[in-house]
This record gives sequence, C-alpha cells and structure tokens, in this order.
Amino acid sequence: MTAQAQALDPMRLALVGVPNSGKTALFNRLTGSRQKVANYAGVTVERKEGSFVGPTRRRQYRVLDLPGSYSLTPTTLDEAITRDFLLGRLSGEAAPEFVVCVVDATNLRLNLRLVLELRDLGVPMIVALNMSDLARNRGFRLDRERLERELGVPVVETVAVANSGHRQLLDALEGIQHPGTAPRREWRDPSFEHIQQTQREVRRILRAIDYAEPARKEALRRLDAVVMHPVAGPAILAVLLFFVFQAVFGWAALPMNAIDAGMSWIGAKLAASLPDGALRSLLIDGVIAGAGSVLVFLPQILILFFFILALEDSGYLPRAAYLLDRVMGSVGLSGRAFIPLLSSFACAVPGIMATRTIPNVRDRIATIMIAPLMTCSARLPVYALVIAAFIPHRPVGPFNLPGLVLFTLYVSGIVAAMAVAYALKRTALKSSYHPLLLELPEYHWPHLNNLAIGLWERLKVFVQRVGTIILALMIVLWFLSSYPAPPPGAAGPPILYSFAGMVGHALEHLFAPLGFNWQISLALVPGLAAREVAVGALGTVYSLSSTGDDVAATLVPMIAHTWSLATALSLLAWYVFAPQCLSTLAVVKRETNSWRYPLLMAGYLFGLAYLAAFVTYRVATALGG
Amino acid sequence: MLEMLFVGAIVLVAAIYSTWALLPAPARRTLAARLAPLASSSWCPGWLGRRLRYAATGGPSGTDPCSGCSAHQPPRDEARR
Repeated sequence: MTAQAQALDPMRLALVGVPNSGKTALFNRLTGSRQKVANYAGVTVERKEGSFVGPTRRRQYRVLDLPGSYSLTPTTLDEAITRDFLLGRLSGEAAPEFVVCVVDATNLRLNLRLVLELRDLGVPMIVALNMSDLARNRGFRLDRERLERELGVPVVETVAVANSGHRQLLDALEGIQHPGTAPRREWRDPSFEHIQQTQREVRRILRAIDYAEPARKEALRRLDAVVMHPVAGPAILAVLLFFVFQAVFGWAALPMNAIDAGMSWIGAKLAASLPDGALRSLLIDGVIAGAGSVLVFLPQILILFFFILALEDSGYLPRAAYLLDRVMGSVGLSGRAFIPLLSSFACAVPGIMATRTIPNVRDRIATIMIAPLMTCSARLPVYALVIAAFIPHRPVGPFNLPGLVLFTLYVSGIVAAMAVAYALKRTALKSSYHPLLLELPEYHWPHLNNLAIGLWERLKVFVQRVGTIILALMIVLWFLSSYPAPPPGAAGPPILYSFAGMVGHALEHLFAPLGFNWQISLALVPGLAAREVAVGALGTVYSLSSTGDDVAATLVPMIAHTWSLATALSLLAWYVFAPQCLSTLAVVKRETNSWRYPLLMAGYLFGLAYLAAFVTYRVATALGG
Repeated sequence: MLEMLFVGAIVLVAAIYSTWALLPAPARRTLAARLAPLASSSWCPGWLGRRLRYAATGGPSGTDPCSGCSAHQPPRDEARR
C-alpha cells in the first residue's frame, strides 16, 4: 500500500440490489475475488467482504457484498441481514458510509423500489446500471442521464462480467469526497399506502425516462414453452440429469487411469529407492495408498461440476425449480427449497446455509433436515470406487451400466429426502402451503470465464483438502494401523495387532449384520471428518492388510477380490443416507441455534442408513449376491 | 533411530493439524485466542504467530465451516485486488 493510500481512511462501501442483479459479479470485478456467481436469485446469503485501492486517488475501499433484497421490508432471513446491516443494527458492524445500488438494466421495473427506499433513507449512493450491454443488445430503451436527474443520485453504466465493465463506477467512486457518517433518516416499515405510492413513483420515473422493454424473442418464448411444459419439461430435466451421470463415468475413465498410473509409478519408485522401514511404509501405505486413492476421483468431480456450473449460468435452474414445485408441494415443501437442495448436491453445508431464503421457519427446518440426503460430491468417490469394483462396464441400450447405477443412487437419495419431508411435514413440522414466487432470469450461453473459474476453484479446494486434512488423517490412520508392532512370531499382517485393528474388530460387531468387515467398519470412523476420507482409509487399511507383492495393487481389484456383491450393495445403501459428516451437523447447529436438530438429524440418518444397508445386505444375500 | 524420530515428528504434526482442522469454528477461535499471547514469544515462528492471531479474529482457517466438503468454496474474508 502506498503512503498516499494510507493517508486516506478506507471507505466502507456496500453493494446492495435485488437478487440476481449482478452484485457478486461486480464485487468480484472490484476486489479481484472469486465468489460464486450464478444466473438465479439467492446465491449470496451471507455478507462477503473484500477490499481494493482506487486507481487514481489511491484511496482504500472496504467492499461488502450483501444478500439480494427486493426492498427494505424483509420477508426472508437473508433480506433481514441486508436491511439490518444498512441500518447499522447488526452488532459489531458499523453501517456502510456509502452504498452502490446495483440495478439490473433489463428489469428496472422490479429494481427501482429498492433504489427509492435507499434514497429515502438518506444513504449516500451511486446507482450502478448493470448489464447495460445486455439491455442495449436486446433493444431496451432507457435514458441514463434522465434517470440520474429523476433519481437525484449519480447513475453509471456497468457490465460486471466484462473486463473493464466497472471502469465508470471506479471513476465515479474516485470522484466523491469521503462521505463521512451522513445522518440517516429513521426507517419505519412502510404502510400499504406508502408501498403503493412508491410503486406509482416507480411507474412515473419509468415513463419519464422513456423506458421501454422490447418484445421477448420468439425463439426464447418457444424454448420456454417446451422447457416448462408440464409433460415435456420434466422429461427434458430427467434426460438432462441422466446424461450428466452417464458423462461422469463415460468421460472420466482416461484422466482417472492417468492419475492412477501416476500414483502407481510414484509408489513403485519409492518402493525401489527406499529401504524397508517406517518411512517407506508411511509414504507408500499411508500417503500414496491413502491420499492418492482419493485424488483419483478428481476428474469425475470436475465433470459433475462442469455440468452443474453450466446449468447454473444458463438460467435453466430456476425453470427446473418451477417444474419441481408440484412435486415439492405434494410432500409439503416450499418450491423455494429447490435451490438449497440443489446446492446440497455439491455439499450440504452451503445448501443448509441457502435455506435462509425460505421465509417460513418450519419449511426451512424441514429443508435443513433433508438436505444431507441429497448426494453430495464427497460421496461420489465412495460410489465410484464400489461401482468400479462390482458393476461391469457394459452397455445397456445407449447407456453404460455404471452410469445407470450412479443415477439410481442419486435418485434414491432424492426419493428418501421426499419421503422424510412428507413424514416431517405431516407430523412435527406442519405448516400451510406457501406458493412459489420465483423470478425467471433470461437464458444465456454460459460464460466460459465463469465456468473456468468455477472449475478451477473446485479443483483447488479438492486438491487442497487432499493435501491437508485428508493427508493428515491418513498419516494418523497409518500410525494407528502400524503400531503397536505385532508380537514376535505373530501370523498375519501387522495391522491385525495395531490400535486400528482393535478398533475395527470392536466396531465389526456393530456392523457385521450389514455385511461390513472390520476394514469397512474402521474406514467409517475417519469418514466422519469427510465422507471421501473413507476411500483413503480403505486404501491405507487394505494396503497394510496385504503382504508382499500385493502392496502395489490398487484399491479397486483389492475390494473386488475380498468383498461380496451383497456387502458392496449394502455399503452403497449405507452411503445413500450416510449420517457421518461432522461439518454438516456443526452448520445445522449454527443455523438453527440449537443442538436439538443436529442430534435429531444424526439419529434419524444413522437409523435409516443402518436399516437400508441391513435390508439390502439380507435381500442381496438371499438372492445369492 | 533417526528415521523413527522423523516419522514420529510427521505423525505428531499430522495429529495436531487434523485435531485443529476438525474442531468446530468457535472452539478453534477460542483456542487460537488463548494461544495468541504465546505467538509473540521469540521461539514462535512468525508464520505460526500470524496464523494464530488471524484465526483468533475469526479469519479463515482452512476448513471453516465446511471441513467435510470438497466442493464448497469457503468464503474469503480478505479478498484483495
């Protein structure tokens, strides 16, 4: 930071606007950050903070990206965060000195109410007319200078997704003096008459600036007629999801084999160059067999996220929410539950946080309780490992069998979630039906930049996790699996006499009815930290359980050789419900501010997982599996 | 003997790190606040001191709040240009 930059106090700047107006994209553009953006409302549910230095005056800015809000009268928890922050009501948080109100230029009618409310509040403000390029291309007519005169605040055009699309905003920010702590007018929730008056003012301004929306393109109208058709729509959605799961198995084989071969090569080199001893065992059986066996699944995770990110950016997902509203409604859930549940396919933690957009408390709790049943990406390595070992890679019509099995597992999670929601909404969490009100964004081709950044972030997070927490846990597990050393003259691999062997055998009593051997029972314990750690744990345990030449063998043939099909299916059934994820339980405690719900969640998921695995194992065994 | 000491040190560091990473965020903040005074001692490496002070103020500590997730992008409290 230069001396000149230090001379000026940092200015606290808040980005405010209606959902999906491009606040986070602008935040990323201003601060160089890479927060998640998507083409639907409700992506940001917490405030995010960043900073930057102005290009000309070298003033420092602290920028806060707030959850989207249609007005200062909140209907959901995330809108309340925005309102309270702007009014300085959040404890430990000073109100912003300056506000950039981000407005979607293609939807001024919906956006201007918030602008007028902020203006009435007396907050120093600039209006960023975002997506102005899109508005121009689509034939919207609006007069920026006139809008500036009507609102009485500076209005600048921005294109948050373009490289220099924030330039005018930066110039405008640099032009203002430090606003200091301008006195705010007191905010009172507006009466119905006052809201009507504001809406009249919005219509008057739109007329005054000669704002005209063009007719929607015929092709897009026709596309929506098909995509949102009551029969064709769900069929398209099912085919789309089916295709995604096929691609996860069909496309990933080559890069997975390459990573696997790389790991085996490193393992062989280490085995050849290091003398037999503790360090050699740690590196080969702990690091390579443990952390390496998780890293192999990176291509599948990236392929899955490629499709999720592309669908997010295209504007299709809110339409899917609309299609599924009837299904959601039939089990008593709000249609707004769709986006949090969809986020849970990546990870239950952001999914549970995204439930803040659900206004009704009982609907929100019901959604939180079923979010872990959506198949998170951490389960993918476990599924992929078992499927690769037991399901032959043969075609079934135009599809491949492993992809079909994976699709079935994902559907099983969804069906289970709907069943649990049905039970909850008819007993402990009864509430009246809340119709879905959803803003449908316009379609657009996914931005390659967004896709690349999204995939890069996922890759970084996954590799970081493998290199930190998973690696650390595998080293600890290696130690527990190697010591104490076996007594002199002992038969069998040393792991049988180790701490881990003792724990595994103790747990085996609990899990034997499910067909789990002591190695699987043991792997479930570190799996509490993160589900994919179970794969690494199996890698380490089996590597240490084998002798001589088997050390170099990979995990897939090992489990194919030692497990029965019934055991494999039982483990898959267990992981559909998989209760073990400490971070999910921690975030439920934080979001509900109570121990009751995380304990209830852990209990019911464990019960369901045990029951499903037990029934699967018994049925498969009876059928000769 | 030297090999055993080296392996023991690696296991110890891994055990401390995994315990730290698996602690719930509030407990981690409290622990970091307790340990922060030690960070000014001469024997404490600078990077460890900075990390502890940062964690004590609620800054990102690697796996918070999503230690079980391989997909979630953790929030960045300090995004700098």
